[in-house]
Amino acid sequence: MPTPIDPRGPRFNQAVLTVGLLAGFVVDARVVIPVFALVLFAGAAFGSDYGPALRFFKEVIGPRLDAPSFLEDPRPPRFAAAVGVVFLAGASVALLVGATGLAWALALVVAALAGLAATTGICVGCEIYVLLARRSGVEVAHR
Amino acid sequence: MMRVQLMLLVVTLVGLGNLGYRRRLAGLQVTGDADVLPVELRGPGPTWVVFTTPTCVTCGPVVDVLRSTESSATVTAIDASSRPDLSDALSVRAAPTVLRANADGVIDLRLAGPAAASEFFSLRPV
Repeated sequence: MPTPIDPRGPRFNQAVLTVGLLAGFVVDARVVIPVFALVLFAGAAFGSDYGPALRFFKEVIGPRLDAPSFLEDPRPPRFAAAVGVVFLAGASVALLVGATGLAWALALVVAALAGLAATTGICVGCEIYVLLARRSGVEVAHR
Repeated sequence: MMRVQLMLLVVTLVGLGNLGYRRRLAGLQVTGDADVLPVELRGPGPTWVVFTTPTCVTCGPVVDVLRSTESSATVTAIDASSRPDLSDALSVRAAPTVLRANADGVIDLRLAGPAAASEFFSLRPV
């Protein structure tokens, strides 16, 4: 079982993602799509030390907050981030081939789900992971 | 202008999701009298049942608090992963889930998840 993490780290990451993608959409800054694809990929593939927002929370914000009232299994949010990577990678490819509308549609889906997770803790990707894990017999410490 | 409207639509959807979540959370914290504890879990008087998982950080402190403060009640901790039958029957979806039942087994309180339990029992941060 991996070391439990402060759940506020992934939520901060999701908040940054939401604000970044929505702001990028409003000003048509298409570069935010591949940039956030890479940001999410770094955290999902290599862990929180490599995701810029996750690292920022861990190094700067977390130490200034009270200790979390509970910890969570890191695998569901990493899986959720991986799902986000898939969507944003698809959006990046859509940008490359000129399907800008499709690219932003995919990015806005990610922004909406990340916003929901950041503000409520309802993480759709995490729930998918928990369902898959239960089916395959992997035990998950979830909320 | 269209972009701002779409952005506001996304924000509105997230807000509606929040609203639904808050309502659901309120419903999770207290149940009506429709839920009843299975006979095997009932004590002679008031009964507290805590559904835990092996890696749940908040579960142990909740059980400890109950056992130290509810000496006249029956306090039972159940590993939800080893009793999926009970977990399903009592709609347990989070760890810890704390149930309080009266002597007749009628559940009059349900706390779902660490946030609800921590707040209810005034647990200090881990």
